[in-house]
This record gives sequence, C-alpha cells and structure tokens, in this order.
Amino acid sequence: MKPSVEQIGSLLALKRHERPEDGYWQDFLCDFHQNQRELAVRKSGLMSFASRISGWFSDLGPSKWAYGAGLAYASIAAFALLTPKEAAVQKMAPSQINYQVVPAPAPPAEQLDQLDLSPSTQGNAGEQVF
Amino acid sequence: MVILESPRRRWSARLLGLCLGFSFSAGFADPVGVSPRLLVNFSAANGKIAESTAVPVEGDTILVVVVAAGADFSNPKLLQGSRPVPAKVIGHDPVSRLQFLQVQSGISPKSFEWLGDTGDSASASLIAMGPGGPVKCRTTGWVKQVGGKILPLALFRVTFVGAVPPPGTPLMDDVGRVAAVVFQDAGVASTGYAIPAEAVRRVQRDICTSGQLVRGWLGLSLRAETQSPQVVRVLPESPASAAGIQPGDVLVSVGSRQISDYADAANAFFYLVPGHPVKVKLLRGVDQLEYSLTPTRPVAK
Repeated sequence: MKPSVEQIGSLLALKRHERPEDGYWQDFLCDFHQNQRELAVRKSGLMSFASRISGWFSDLGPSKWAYGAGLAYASIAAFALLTPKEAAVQKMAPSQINYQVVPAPAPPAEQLDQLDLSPSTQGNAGEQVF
Repeated sequence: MVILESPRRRWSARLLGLCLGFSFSAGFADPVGVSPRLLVNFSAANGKIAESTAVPVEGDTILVVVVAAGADFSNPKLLQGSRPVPAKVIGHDPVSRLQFLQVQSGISPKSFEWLGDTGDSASASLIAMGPGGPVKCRTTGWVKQVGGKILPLALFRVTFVGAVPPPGTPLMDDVGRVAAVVFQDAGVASTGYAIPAEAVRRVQRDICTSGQLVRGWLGLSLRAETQSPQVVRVLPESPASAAGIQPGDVLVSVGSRQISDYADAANAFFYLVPGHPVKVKLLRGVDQLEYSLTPTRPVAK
C-alpha cells in the first residue's frame, strides 16, 4: 500500500523535529579525528619504509640492475629447490599411524627387610605379603 | 644503658651474668638431668668403635640405643661419660636396629616423655640434645625409600644446624618431649635420618615383653614395584580374606595413616599389632569400603 501525500508530509515533519542527543556531534567529531590520526600514522609508517627502499635502490646507481638480477635469480633458485617434486610426493605410500599407548616400565623397587641403608643392601622385589 | 663505674659493681655484674649463663645453659643443655650423657660403644668393622647415644625410654632404667650399621650389637658397653655402667641387653630388633638395655645399677637418669603420635612432627623445629649441647634442627618430611629401596618403616629427614649428631641422639620438641631419635647421617651436609618416637615405642612394646618384634599380619600382598597400593593377592584363611578384601582393591588408609603408594602401605603395616583391630579403607572400583581387621601373628611362609 502506497503512503498518501499527507502521510509522507507528516513523516517529513516528524523527521525535521528529530535531533541527535546532546554531545553526539562532539563525540562524532572526536572519533573522526582519532581515526584520521591513526590512519595517517599507519600510512606514514608504510610510506616511509617504501620511500626508504626506493631511495636505497636509486642511490645504487647503475649497479641496481645487477642487484635486481641477483635477487631475481635467488628467488627462482629458492623456489626451484623448495618446491617438492610431484613424482616424489606421489611415491610416498600412506603410512598408518599407530597410537597404541605403551605403559612406561615400572621403576625398579625393592622392599628392604631391615633399615640398612647402605648402597649394597639387597631388598626383595615383587610381591610382598603383609 | 647502665654504666658500671666502680670495680665492685663490675664484679657484681660479672657474677650475676655468670649465674644467669649457667642456669640458662643448664636448663637447655640438660633439661632432664642426664649429665653427662649416656653412651653405648659397639665393636665395628676393622676394630673401630661405633658410638651411639642411649636415651631413657621407660622409667629410668630402660634405655634405647640405635645400633650403627655393621656394628656388633651383641656386646654393647654402656658408659656415663667415661665411667662404665653395668647394663643388660633386653633385646635387639634387626628391622629398626634398635636395642633396649636395662640399667643394672650406678645411674638413675630421669625419664623422658615420648610423643605418642608423631605424624605432625614431619615438618617441625626440634632440638637435638647432642654431645656438645643443644643443636637446632628441623624435620623436612618423610623418607620412605632410599635409592629405589623401600624402607620397612618411614624415617624423618632432618636438617641440623651444624654436624649431624651421633645415632640415638634424642630430638625434642619445644616442650621437651622426644619426637624422634637420630638414626644415621644421610651423607649430605648437615642432613640425617631419624626414627619417629612412635616407631621406637612400637618396637619397645614387643622387645621389652617378648624379646622380639612381632608385626601384625593381615594376609594380603602388594607389589613393591607398583606405585599404586593395590592388593595383588589375598591369602586364604587370613584376616583380609575373612573380611572380604579382594585382589584389585586399592588401599586408602590403614588406621590413621593415609596410603598413597606402596611405601606408605609398608610403613603403615609396620605399626600393626597382633590382636589389635585396625580400620582399613579401600577403594573397589568407585566404591569406598571400610573394614575392621584384626591382625594376627604372621604365619610361616
């Protein structure tokens, strides 16, 4: 159902009277400036790093082409070495992982018959009846 | 601050200090009137003499002494200072290496008060009545096994201020009761082992009545190498069998002693007295069971 012209008129009249809360614009302005400052700082960090890199390259003079070529060669070599060969990957047979828990062996323990604490004293291992 | 100007005042102060010092040292070094201390010499290997301190354990005539490892316990020589004192051997327990002597004549040492329950003494400040006077010491827990070997009864680990006093030296609490006696040096600086007073009284009970220690027998077995205090087997016609204890049950407590591992169980079984009922708490699955068992004299293996 389409609104009538009167309804639209009354709605616009209501909207004209609608005002944000006190201090809204002040807060909005503060947030806006804060975001602007953070963005500027972030941009300046990245930009300064990029400008330092480009400046270093431009200061190299004609040798920058040699550096560039070396860097490109190193990148290609690293890619070729680190990329696994497809044939080798395919050859590896899937191995079944065994999760069987093996209990740790019990530490050797002996029951002394007497309070003779010398290292050579022999005790009794195994089952002890009390 | 008092300024002592005249020589007469100075001498008076010195005399007063001497009297105070004497009474202080007498009060601490000899709280029970055993002075000079009682020594027992045993013949040891290579012709050496093993010296121990004797402590009155009952009345003023029965003494307890710790026999050093390897010493010949059959011929002890009791001395008061350097004076021989005639004494008769009541009995010797090879398990705890405690020996009890009956003083024949010549001395009348005052008796000591011994602690009955020494469970709280596992971490306590004590005073060792050593040959050179009182020495401060502190018990720092139980020793249940040494070098992978489980002891038949748990000892106290004691740290002394200075050297470890000779075996048999009484360790007294702050009110003058014997909490333990030195057993031997632990081989680590200023650290030794001590037998709890409760163990001394337990051994004395049997040695002074029947001449040998008879431990209560329940007829259940555990494995020394298993940390868990789990019953492995229950012997037929035993107190444990009659009560309904089953293999697989896990010991929780024996009497007032909590059991957390095999060594705890061995220590608790040391104190069992034949004919004296003891409450045994067990865990069977998730159920906690409590039995009252009456240990018997051990049957022949």
